[in-house]
Amino acid sequence: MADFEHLFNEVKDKVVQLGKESLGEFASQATKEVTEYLQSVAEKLKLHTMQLATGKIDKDDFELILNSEAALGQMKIQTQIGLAKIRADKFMAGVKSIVLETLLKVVGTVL
Amino acid sequence: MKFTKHLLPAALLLAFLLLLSSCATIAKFNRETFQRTVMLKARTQVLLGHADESYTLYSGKVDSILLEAYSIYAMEMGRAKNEQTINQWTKLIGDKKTMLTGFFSSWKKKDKMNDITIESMSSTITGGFDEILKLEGQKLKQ
Repeated sequence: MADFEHLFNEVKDKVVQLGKESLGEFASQATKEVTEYLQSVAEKLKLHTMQLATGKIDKDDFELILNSEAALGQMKIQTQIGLAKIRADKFMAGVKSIVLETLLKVVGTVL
Repeated sequence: MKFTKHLLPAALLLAFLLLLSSCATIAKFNRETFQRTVMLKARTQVLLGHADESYTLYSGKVDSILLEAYSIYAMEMGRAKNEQTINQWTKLIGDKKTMLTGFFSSWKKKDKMNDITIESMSSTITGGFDEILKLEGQKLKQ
């Protein structure tokens, strides 16, 4: 079974490398985007509150703007969840490739 | 000996490969919905620019945009593993008090919208379309 162990280790090493390349940077990028968005929302809230206070917009418009901003925030969260799934699928596609390549090598050895 | 050394590992790898084949967690990219959403975003941006004019002049265009939006939404609902995109469309058009539907309802009620609200909502609604396109554009191709 020494050959099988060698094979397994070869696949494992390639998969670990693939994982680092495809999944590593995602978390920091997602955090940065969310943080920047929250900052912009805080600034908008301040601006629109002042506009409401000075009568430049009415209460209905204020609510429309703020509730829509909250909806946009939720859409952004859905994007990040979806992107995480896509990255996971890309990673699995890479793993399939590695396994197939190794399989073909083994079959080639037998034949 | 030959079986254990070569064929058993091959069989195990093949089994693993078959298992991985059914592992997708999200729908694949759909060119039709992507292109239709791009066009809808552009048409919506143009229409929002007219919201300082009387609603009655543009009610037909509003209906046309909503019809297209609901049509794309229906297509997205029909795709498996498409939860995030469906949720995004629900946020964009599903609530009568926010985003696209909310803006059109308000425009209809007031007849004319003020420039501050138009500018802010145009940015937010465009942002909503961009999120949908960003996600769809990143999905794996068939």
